[in-house]
Amino acid sequence: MRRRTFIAAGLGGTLALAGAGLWWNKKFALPARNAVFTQESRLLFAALIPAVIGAPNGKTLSTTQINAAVDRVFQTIAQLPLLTQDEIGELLGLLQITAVRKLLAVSASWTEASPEELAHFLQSWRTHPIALLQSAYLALHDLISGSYYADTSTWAAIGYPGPAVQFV
Amino acid sequence: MSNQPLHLPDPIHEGLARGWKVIDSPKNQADLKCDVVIVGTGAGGGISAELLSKAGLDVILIEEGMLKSSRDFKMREADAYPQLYQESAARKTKDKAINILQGRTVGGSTTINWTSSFRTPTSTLEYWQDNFGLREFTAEAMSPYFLQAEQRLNISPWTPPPNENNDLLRRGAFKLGIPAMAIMRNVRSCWNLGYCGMGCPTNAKQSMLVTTLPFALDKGARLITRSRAERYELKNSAVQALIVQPLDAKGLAPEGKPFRIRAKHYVLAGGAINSPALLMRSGAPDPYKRLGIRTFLHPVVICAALMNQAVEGFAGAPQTIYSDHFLEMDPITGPMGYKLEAPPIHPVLFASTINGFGQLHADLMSNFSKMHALLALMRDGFNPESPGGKVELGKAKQAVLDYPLNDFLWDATRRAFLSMAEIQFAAGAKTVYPVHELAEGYKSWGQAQAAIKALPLKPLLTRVVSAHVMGGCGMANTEKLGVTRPDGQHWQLNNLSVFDGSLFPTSIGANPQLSIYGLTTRLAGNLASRLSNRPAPTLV
Repeated sequence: MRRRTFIAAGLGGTLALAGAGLWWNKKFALPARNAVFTQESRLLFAALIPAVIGAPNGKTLSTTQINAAVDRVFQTIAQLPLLTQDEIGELLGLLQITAVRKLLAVSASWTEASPEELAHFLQSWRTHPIALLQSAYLALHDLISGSYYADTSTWAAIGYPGPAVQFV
Repeated sequence: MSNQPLHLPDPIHEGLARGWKVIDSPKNQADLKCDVVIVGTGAGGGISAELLSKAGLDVILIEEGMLKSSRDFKMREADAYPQLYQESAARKTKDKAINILQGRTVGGSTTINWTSSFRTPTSTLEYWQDNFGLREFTAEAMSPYFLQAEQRLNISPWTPPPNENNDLLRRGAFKLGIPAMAIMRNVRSCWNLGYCGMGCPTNAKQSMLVTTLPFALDKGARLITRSRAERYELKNSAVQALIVQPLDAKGLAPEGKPFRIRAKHYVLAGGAINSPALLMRSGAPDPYKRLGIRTFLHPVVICAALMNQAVEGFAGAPQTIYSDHFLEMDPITGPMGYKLEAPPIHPVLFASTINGFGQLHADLMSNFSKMHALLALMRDGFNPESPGGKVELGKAKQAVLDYPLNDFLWDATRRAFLSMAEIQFAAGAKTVYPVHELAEGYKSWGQAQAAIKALPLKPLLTRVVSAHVMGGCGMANTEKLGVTRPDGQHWQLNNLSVFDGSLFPTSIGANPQLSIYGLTTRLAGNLASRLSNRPAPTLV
């Protein structure tokens, strides 16, 4: 039963993705990268960051830490090749479509999603039979975890002292 | 060590002050002329620049990345990856199943590599002799060129004790009776800091940035940075000009007017993936469909382990111990062998590479300083079932590598996970984590063995990475088998030579920098001799 639901969701996911692409192209005659640096994307990342990072050393992330991490995610994306930025824009645009979010069993908005709903979404894409969705999970994983630990403020919690010497 | 910031000299800034001709992204550049224009400033381009300028030739170098030097190298991943790597260190194969670390800065990958130096293994050279007609590439014939590069770049045994991350490989292997040896490194007065991958802050690493490129610039060579080699203009089996496109401040988008460089001879050293793509954009003749095929990566899988003690894999020279035991078990043409090494462990690289999210990820990160990691670098290209990947052009004519992962490679992956886990348990690991989306932490060798044997090995579930790009413009003694002749010249273009890792007809089976140095020393020396009517220059 579970397997069947999974496959149905997979097919639905593909159709939704194709539809979303078309919708996106019609709505904006702009490169998809413009969907990255928006308030909606900020809220999406603010929800996903704690779901990916968890509580390093048992400490839940504060709102300040989450907001700073969203800034770093945006900085990371802004330094990627433009075509990669477009792909990320398409992914973020897709996740912001209400029907897609519901298909992913995230019932209310991303901001109001429960930790269980977020974990379910991440886990389903992580092991999804459709390679595109699996690679989207990996993109979110790498982008969020890499950007999060790029900043000095996150190092104490993991016992990383930083470089032993400083040069000027 | 002192917490006071220290000041060290920066040879690049000193050179610029002496009047080096470096032009960064010229927005309104008139066309240029020279004897030889070199695309790329990495291992191949750097060696070529020194030898060609030593022969008195007028050289221009084109580099897509920026000129960064020791004063910019702050040992921070957040700066280093976007500034010094292709695609912010997130370059991926077409299906996104392999992440590729490749340099994109002056000095290319030599500026950011981990300094591991090996001569091309004799078994690899023999395979080239037998299968690609490269009869002059014997270990004896190559030896003087490796020696020159070793002397020029101070490639020598690393005598300080390995850091704990590397010593765990040594101790674990020793317990199992597996030979493990010390890796030679291209460093001079190394501080043993462990930040080679972010650019050497003390100029100890003898990369192209601080050796051959300063030599060429002192001889009057011109270096144009943050500018992309767009395409060659071709006519009658010859290159007429190279078209160069300057880039914007971030180095991402074209900005400013493209310009032409006309030269007597053209050297292509953009590295595998980029070099074949430039030839494709130029519409280079390819009558036997060889261009871009047989691109190799040494696909790498990783196994992390939680130790009881501090490992601090971020401190101390990375990759100082290796084992070739699993490369030498079978004939080179048999099941794929793999080389074991211990990579550096830094927060961004580690956090983005280990699998999982939420509490699992947080638990691994919370033990960051006690984490050990091994990697297995798989030797691709020596068996019909290991044809490597193919470079294609994407929708913006950018280089895209299609590298399918097949069962032949998964067989090696499974053996590699088993070997790494066994060594890690022998070294005292508490928990071992093969980097695979369905792998959990395993508490004993028995548990790990059973679980690894059952893991479904598939793209995107198994984390595969690469730091070695090779092939795509392979050499052969017949144009039916290669893009380039045994002297590096393009088979169909009589004034273009490829001098970089894309010449390799297979992977190397070892970290490739010294293979590129040695090969280029030989080929670029001969070209310099031919163009200048002088004896071939040497590096020493």
